[in-house]
Amino acid sequence: MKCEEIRGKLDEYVDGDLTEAEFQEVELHVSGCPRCGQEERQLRAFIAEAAALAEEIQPAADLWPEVAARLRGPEGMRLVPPSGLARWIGPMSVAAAAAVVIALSAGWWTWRQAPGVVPSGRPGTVRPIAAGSLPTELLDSEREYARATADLMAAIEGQKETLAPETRAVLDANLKTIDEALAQVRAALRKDPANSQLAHLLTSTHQKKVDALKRVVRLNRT
Amino acid sequence: MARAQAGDLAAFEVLYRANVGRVYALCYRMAGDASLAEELAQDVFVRAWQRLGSFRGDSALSSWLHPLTVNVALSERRSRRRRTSRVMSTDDPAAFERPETKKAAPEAAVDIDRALETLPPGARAVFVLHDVEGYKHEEIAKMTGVAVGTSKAQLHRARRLLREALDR
Repeated sequence: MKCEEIRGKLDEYVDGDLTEAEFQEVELHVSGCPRCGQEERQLRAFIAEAAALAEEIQPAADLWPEVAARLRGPEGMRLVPPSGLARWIGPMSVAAAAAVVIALSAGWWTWRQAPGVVPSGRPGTVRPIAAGSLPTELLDSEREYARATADLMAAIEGQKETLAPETRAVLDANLKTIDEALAQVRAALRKDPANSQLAHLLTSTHQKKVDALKRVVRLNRT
Repeated sequence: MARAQAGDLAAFEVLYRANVGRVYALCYRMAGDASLAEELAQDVFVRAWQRLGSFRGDSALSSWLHPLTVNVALSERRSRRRRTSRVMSTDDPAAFERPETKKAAPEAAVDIDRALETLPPGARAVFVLHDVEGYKHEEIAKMTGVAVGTSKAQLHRARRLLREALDR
């Protein structure tokens, strides 16, 4: 093999991914070729540096206040060996946990009943998205989240009797809060469509909803 | 640990502070972006709290957190790729901010961390999992959903790009 071919195989050589015959050929070459030998040593040294990177890096800001705030909210629901919704414990009550379910359920119905519109701050009312007012990729993203939410809610709807009726009032309040937050982000995005932080906030809020729904579906199935 | 598992947030904060450096380091390298890494690290600890009841103490908490961190980072990459392309502008000052290192890292190591930010996401993830974290290609392929051959090709590409960026 020529030097160029040898160098093309050095990664596999140092990783031990060559056949025995190829390994012998490369080894023989690098032991007698100063340039390829140096290339091999530099590659090994680089890999060793990567393996020795610091195990710890501290974030620039203290993340705990935000983590703690999230744990005091709906995301603080604890999953102790899953056996149903009533096993969710922690800073958040079971009723509040169920609030997420109902809130998301109501949000789902607004999507289902009026495709192409988004929920406003009041459950059951909708506000159209002005065509072209949000970047196309965000509109696509919202539709995809709506579909994902619909799929998950279809699974939850069949089990809605597991939620106590008295929790619904609490849950409606949560629904309003969630929908208002999303509506505010959308309104801000309409004014500043190029704002990547707002775009991320919108998608991350949707993602949190989807994650919560997935947990509910998983728990209710156990 | 028992108090944290029972729902004591103050006890969980102690566990957080003991492990945030490792979790953030992995998130930062997988994400290639300090701000996103902070979000991912938060997600890891939220999920850890939710699942803390399944931690049986037969391994170190840091070992228990490691695959959880990898999953969070990979899930975020997948969902982001599907939904919204994250545009990183080279004139974004935040892209050049260096997180503070807890341990005094050799200059070379700092350079590798910084150069990681410039890699394509797929190549960066495979490089971090294989060369930094020590996973095998078969494990990476399973975690990321790519073929073993693709994982190897991504690793070789990442090494080449990093060495070019670092002039080594």
